Amino acid sequence: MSMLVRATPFHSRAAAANRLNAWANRNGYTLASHYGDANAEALAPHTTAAIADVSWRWRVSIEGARAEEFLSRLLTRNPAKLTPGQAFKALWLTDHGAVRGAGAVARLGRETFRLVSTQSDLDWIASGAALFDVRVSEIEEGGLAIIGPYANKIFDAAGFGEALNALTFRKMFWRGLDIMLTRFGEHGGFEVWCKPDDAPILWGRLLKAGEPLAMKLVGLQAMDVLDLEAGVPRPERDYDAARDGFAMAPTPYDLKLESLIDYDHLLFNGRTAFLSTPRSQTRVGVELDGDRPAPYTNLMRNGQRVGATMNSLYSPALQRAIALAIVDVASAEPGTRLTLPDGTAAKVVSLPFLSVPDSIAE
Amino acid sequence: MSARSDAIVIGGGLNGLVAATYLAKAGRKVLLLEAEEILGGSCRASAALPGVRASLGAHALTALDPRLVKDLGLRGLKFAARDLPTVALRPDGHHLVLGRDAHASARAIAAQSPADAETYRRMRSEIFALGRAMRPLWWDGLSDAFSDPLFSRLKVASATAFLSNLESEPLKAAIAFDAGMPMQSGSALALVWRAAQEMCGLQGAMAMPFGGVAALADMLIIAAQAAGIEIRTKARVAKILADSAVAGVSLDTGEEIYSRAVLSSLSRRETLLDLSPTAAAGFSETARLERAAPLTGDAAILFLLNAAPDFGAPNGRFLIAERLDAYAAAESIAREGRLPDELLIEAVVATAADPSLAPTGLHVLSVRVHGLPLAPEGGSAEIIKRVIAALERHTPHLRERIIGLDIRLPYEQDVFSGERLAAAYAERVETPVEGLFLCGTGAEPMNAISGRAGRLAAGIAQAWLAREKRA
Repeated sequence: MSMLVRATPFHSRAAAANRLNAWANRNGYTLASHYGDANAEALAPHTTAAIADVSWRWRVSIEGARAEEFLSRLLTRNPAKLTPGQAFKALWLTDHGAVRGAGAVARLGRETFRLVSTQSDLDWIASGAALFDVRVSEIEEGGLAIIGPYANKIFDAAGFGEALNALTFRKMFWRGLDIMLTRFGEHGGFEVWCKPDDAPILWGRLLKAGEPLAMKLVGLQAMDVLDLEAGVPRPERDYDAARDGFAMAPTPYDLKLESLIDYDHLLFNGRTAFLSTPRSQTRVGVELDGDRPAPYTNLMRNGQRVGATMNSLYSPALQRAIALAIVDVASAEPGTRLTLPDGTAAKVVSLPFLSVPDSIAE
Repeated sequence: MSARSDAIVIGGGLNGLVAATYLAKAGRKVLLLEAEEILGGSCRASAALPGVRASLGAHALTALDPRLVKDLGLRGLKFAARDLPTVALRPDGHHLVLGRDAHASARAIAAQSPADAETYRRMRSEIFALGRAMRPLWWDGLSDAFSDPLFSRLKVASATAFLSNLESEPLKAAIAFDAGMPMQSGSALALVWRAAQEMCGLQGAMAMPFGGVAALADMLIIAAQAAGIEIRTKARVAKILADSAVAGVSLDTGEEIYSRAVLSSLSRRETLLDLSPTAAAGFSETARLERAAPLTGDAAILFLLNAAPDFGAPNGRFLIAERLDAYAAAESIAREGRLPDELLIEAVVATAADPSLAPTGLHVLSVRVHGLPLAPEGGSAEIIKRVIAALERHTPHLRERIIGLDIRLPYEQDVFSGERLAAAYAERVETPVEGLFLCGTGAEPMNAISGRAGRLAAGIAQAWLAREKRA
């Protein structure tokens, strides 16, 4: 990955909308941090709908006669169970069972797959693929996600046709554009992907389709709040994924991502090590007393350190600061009272803190 | 096909036979698969020289496991030579004889360097003491960490650096022959490993069994048959079958044979890269093994002679290695695929100790050449020509006496590493694939005929089988 900061295909449109010129970097891309009011943007997906640039996600195409065999060895779930048009979420682990990455894997055809993740891991995946004579190529596309109770209505208004089930996708020719519709997001809604050159057209059409439903353009800050409220941990932002191929931490248990592991899938890298990993820590939500976030801070119980927070932000929807945290299993019970080193009270809660409603009862 | 076995052992060489026999004696149903027609691996007698019982695998033993001799009841094992002295050959005829008698050795060294006589004596007693202390690790596979400061120093030191206190080049070069690759980090510990070994009750000795190592192989074949092992020869394993754990093997005929455990006598690289499913060792481990491709190895040659060679010294283990620098030079040239200018040679007149190894009136000179390229340019003909030239500098008229020869070209073995030498047996025996174990060259700390890898791998596999109650 180049160290240069790149612009997404929507940059010209985002720059025009970014009134306060607030920018942030994510995965090597420049993105609007917010478009004027981060708190209002964070509420939009709970009340109406939000649209966000997700072109920064790392997307690779995986192709070859042995692509399925390679992915079967790479991923914690069995890609042989996917039929074209289906996708699942899975992890990939180091030789010693630590989490190296997480993402959605879609099957496009018999020998063609696509992997989407929030952090690139090209070295690992390309060197593994080479052992199986499988080609891995990064894909540059424009992507917009629409999230919120009105997302389905916007889907209909835009004329995308038959509704999509979660973890499926569809390629289509839509009013002169080649697009791909996916439902891979953690917050419901859907994503639309297009060629970089078509990005400004897609931006204009989707914003127009969402306008009557009070859809709001939201930046990276609001999306981070949304992830945190939903209890979705992301590598790089929330935790350091293993980068050494023999690393033993973080374990899937530490991150509470064991639900992405199919115990009946016998082939994946790091399986033996994972099966003998003790479940000593887990990930929980922590509500902090007050408005002030406390990222990457120790959590104490009766004077003993029992864990630490990961990312922490103020949630406008919950009107308080919240955090994801990794704590000892003995202190993971919802309701457990903890304190920060400065004495601020904190409480373990079950995840998610809050999820995005599918629709609004009318 | 017969009922599924508990364990398949790949390779009917010495370690494979030992591992299979131990497992069978522990009550396991064992199938031994040998690719060739005859068992014994590198220990079997030369096939190219009729009537010769000497073997290309080894001319003598330095590291045979005393425990397996006792456990498997190898009562027929007798020795023709119990303690061959090392004779460092010099072109001027002032050969350096290093034997059991410390005073005699010291006198021989003092003739060249009085200071070295004392340094050598101290170094030798240091190494021998540490060697004895290290036996729990190297003999029984116990992994207790050794806190000995000398051990901590030697496991990262090169033999070259360790020997720098000595002055005499021929002395340094002779000692370094036992260090594998004397420039490499950890090769100093290889000297300790050698000193930890015991033959005929003598520490650090080199001994020759009556009938050569082929006789040892024959005894192990009989022990294996007596233990009730199913043996199949001409059964070449093409693939190891595995998903989350090992499931068996498939042969080059396509036949699949299932078992709960598989023990491989091959190197770690061959077992995990060539035989196992792609990346079964793990993505990182596979990449590491691919990088660790060996480029050099040892060659062995047997010369059948019609008159005994005369090295102008008492019978022993003759070394041609005059300078310590020759090892580094040989290694760098060999890595480019060329034959080194100065060949590093170990030679033993096998028939001097045991005349029964050749037909009456004939003699066998057994030669090992250190650090040759795996695919040398000029092939075996060039190696033979160069080896004869090197030997003739010390034993004239060798060429006229040769009436037959057999050669084993350098072959792939796991590269030497100090870390591997200092590790517990279990680390070398176990693989990332559940139920797949290494029981031969890949599990030995050093390349030598010992049988310990087979014995200890059988113990580890047996414990795993007992723990793993899979149907």
